[in-house]
Amino acid sequence: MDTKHHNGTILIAEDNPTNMKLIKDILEFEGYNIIEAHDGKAALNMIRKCKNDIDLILLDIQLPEINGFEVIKLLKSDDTTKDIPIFVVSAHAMETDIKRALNAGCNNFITKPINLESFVDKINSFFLHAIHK
Amino acid sequence: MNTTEFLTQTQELAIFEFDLNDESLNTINNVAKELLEYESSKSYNIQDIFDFRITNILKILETQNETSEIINLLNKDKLCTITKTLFFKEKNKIKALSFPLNQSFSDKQIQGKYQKTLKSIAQIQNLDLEFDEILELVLNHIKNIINYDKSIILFIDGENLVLKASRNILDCLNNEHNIIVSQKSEIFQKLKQNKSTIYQNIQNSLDDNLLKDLDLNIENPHSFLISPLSIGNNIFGVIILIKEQTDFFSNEDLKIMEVFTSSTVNCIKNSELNDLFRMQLSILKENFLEKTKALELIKEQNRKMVEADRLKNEFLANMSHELRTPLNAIIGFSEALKLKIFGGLNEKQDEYVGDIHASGIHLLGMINDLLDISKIEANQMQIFKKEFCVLNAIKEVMNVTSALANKKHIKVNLNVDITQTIINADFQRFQQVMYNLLSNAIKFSPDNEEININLKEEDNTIVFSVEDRGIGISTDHHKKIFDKFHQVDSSYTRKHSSTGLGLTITKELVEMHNGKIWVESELENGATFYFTLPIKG
Repeated sequence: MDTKHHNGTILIAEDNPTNMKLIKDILEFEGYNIIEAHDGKAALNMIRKCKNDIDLILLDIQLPEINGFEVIKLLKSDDTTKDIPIFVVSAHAMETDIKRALNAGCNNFITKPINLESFVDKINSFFLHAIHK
Repeated sequence: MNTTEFLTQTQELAIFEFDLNDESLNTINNVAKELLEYESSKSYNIQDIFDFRITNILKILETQNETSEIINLLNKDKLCTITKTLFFKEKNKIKALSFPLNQSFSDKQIQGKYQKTLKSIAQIQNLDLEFDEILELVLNHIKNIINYDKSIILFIDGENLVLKASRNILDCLNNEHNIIVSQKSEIFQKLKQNKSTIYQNIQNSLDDNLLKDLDLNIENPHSFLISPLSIGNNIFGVIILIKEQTDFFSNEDLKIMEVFTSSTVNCIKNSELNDLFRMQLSILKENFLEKTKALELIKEQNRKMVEADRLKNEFLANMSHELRTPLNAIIGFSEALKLKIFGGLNEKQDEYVGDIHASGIHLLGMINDLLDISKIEANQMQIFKKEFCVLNAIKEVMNVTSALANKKHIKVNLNVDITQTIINADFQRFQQVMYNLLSNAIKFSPDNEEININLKEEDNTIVFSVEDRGIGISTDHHKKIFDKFHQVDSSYTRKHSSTGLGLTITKELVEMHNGKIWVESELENGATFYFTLPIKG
């Protein structure tokens, strides 16, 4: 099967290997470059290291070491990282959680279990929009 | 007051006290009866009464061992007066109030006063009144006997004397509706002497202080009669009588007041205490009602909670059923695909199908846990015992968890130190317990470590233990970990996913077998979970 061609690097912060596999496989198939992080600390380190190369962060909330909310806060308080767009992808689907994430500064909130088709659409249209800027 | 005094009192009111015992009580009752009979018959001879009186007094006194004195007196040819006597009981004494009824008695007015006094005292003694009622009655009776223009009753309240009752005084008060007399006042000082006093010609003397102390505005005050109210040495109040214009109180009045107050103080004090008790009782009643209401409220809330709990359990049971239905499709179809019954799969497809299946199984496990918990809560958990070999059961569980263990390169050892390997218990639930403890051990163990399952025999039980070298459990959590929904770390950084129900169910299952379960562990130093099961079940 041919992979599609999209341009972009996405960092995925997710501790559950099955969930990681699902998103990574699909997005790689769509042609994106994927960086994996398995906990909050690793995510932050990697983002700080490659900040100029990362176009989008897909962030889970339930993460070891540093949780997703904290990660958002820390990224937004750093001038060099505050503009990197963040989509939260989480099974924490309570209204309070969604509000909290959006208030912290994330660009989108996608609840698990994900609808694959609409998820892919969201990512693709995001990149399309970003290119036209 | 001794006998001699009693017998030689000719013109005055006298109070005589007896100790209360059955004999004197009897005698007095008899005397009173006979006296009544005598007095109701219109004709009598003084001498007769005199003899009668002496005889009866002798009878009374015989019980007090004072007979010898009487005889001496008689020999001295003293005239004993005819008296009217009122006997009444006061605590553990009998008081006899007597006054002379001599036919040659000159001042009929005084005689009248005495009669009235006795009558009033008798009346007051017999009534059960509220505090302010009795004070008013006292003032009324005194007015009837002595006649005054104004009267005040003050009681000691802390450091002051405070107005409790009055007659004709309210217009004269400077201080609105109240008289408060301080300890330093002359009245207070006089009170401490516990004696009745008369102050005459008020306006003209230094006794002006009295009016100042009382803070009264009286136009023509003339004579004051001050009578302390006391029981024994305990002075608790005072009655003040006031005459205006040129009227004044006599010594007779003083005597009457003394007798009157000493005869009625107990009634007054009792009434005050009763009022106090009644007030406290009503406060207690109020408190009690409040508490009862609060209790009712709590009971109601409790009922609601119990009902909510019941509904929750019903819901859980129902939902677990509903959730299983689609789960059946997920697990079933993914398994069918894995088995490649309907054709092969490429590597990626095979991988994905395996993931679907594993997730389905995981979900099923959690639904089963929820169902178990609701059964436990509703007391509907059942165990079905049969005999089986523990070693086989454990080895099966080790098999199931081997994949998990191998992924982390963890070695699971089985150490057996028992002779009797057959046990009578619920086979499936036993494996459930072992699976829970073993999978926990693997989950919380670091890679490349060892886990030991140990079996030991003790009395008629087998002691099982699962020992790991993982993150350990701090002492304050040792009991809590068995609580429903408890997780050591429930924050958003939780590393090990869990519903928090496993250990709760495990504990319940062990205890249903009459076993015990506990943990020995220190933070960072691994953990050993122990549980016991009776061999015979």
